[in-house]
Amino acid sequence: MLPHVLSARGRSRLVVLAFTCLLAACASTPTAGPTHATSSTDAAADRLASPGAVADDHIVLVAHGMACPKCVTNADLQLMKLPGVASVRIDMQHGILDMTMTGDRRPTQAEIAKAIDDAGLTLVSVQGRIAEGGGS
Amino acid sequence: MPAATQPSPGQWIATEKARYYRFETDAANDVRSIMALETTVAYGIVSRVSVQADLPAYWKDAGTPGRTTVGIGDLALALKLRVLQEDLGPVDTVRAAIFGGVELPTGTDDFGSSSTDPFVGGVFTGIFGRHGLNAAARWTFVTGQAFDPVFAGDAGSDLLDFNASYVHRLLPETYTEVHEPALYAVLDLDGTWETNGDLEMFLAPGLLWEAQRAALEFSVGFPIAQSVENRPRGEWRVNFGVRLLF
Repeated sequence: MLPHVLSARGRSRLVVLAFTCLLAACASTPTAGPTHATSSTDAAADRLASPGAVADDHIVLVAHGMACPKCVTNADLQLMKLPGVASVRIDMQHGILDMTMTGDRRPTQAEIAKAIDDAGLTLVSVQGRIAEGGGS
Repeated sequence: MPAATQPSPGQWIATEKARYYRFETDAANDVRSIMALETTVAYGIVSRVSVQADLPAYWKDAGTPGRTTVGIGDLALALKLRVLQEDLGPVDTVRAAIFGGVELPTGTDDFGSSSTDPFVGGVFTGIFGRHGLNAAARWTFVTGQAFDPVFAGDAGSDLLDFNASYVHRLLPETYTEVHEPALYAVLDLDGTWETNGDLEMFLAPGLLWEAQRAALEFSVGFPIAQSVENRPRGEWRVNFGVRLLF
């Protein structure tokens, strides 16, 4: 019925308006964080400047949704942007991301979760020591 | 083969597709074949939102020496929003996205509709191990008419584009830590329906090779359903595409 009621220009404007409203509504959906995470503290956490930062030089993430080789690149690029991350080794088939870090500045658990979310993946767990007082 | 995937924030995906369209010879039209070079650039804005621009260039052959025309088509700008993401396992996922945009009348004389045409649509992707399914639909509100209608939507009627595809990963059987490229067999169903009654469906088997930062695709399409009165009927088509992630 719509095509008969409105002119072509009117329909165009209506469509653009409707899509803009829909986009605004959906974009406000909160971002999902990791579903599970293990954390503990030890002496290594003392050198960390920010609470919730990774304490170990090496942590293992489990993430789901790496369905194609491009997903590996997405994960690698997003995680390598984080402070202190020196390398990321990825086992697609098992969803394992093995991160090695150097230097004093380390990513927080929240930063890791956001990087995984930005890569279009779902963070399932973080296996490594996280300093108390932060994270998500 | 539209998919519910998009670049992550700050990333670019550039795609170049060469398409060759062969049309049935008909006294009522003056086009025999069209070579199209479609350039697409997509950019990830935030986690679930990307923008995309498409610009085609055309070489139209009327089948008569000296009757080849060259030009560009309408520029399409679109916004894509991922609305569903269920990652069921390490390599299993179900995703859906909606998109909307507008085709701007940038086309030269022989190409494009000389009108501003908004469009909306949705796309679904499911990947389960070595099997993948895609389904997409796009509605274009056509507000103008091309001088010489060739493609669906050129004749001034609103247009529904629909697509379904099945993808089977041939290689590797299982992924390893050595990230070797994947090779897929693809079966693509492409269709158009216009409110003037024109319907056209093509089945296109092909191959897709995908590495971490590049992908190549090739397919050949044949009509499986055609009821077209307002433009030339397609005979067959070939698609070759290159995609780069950076």
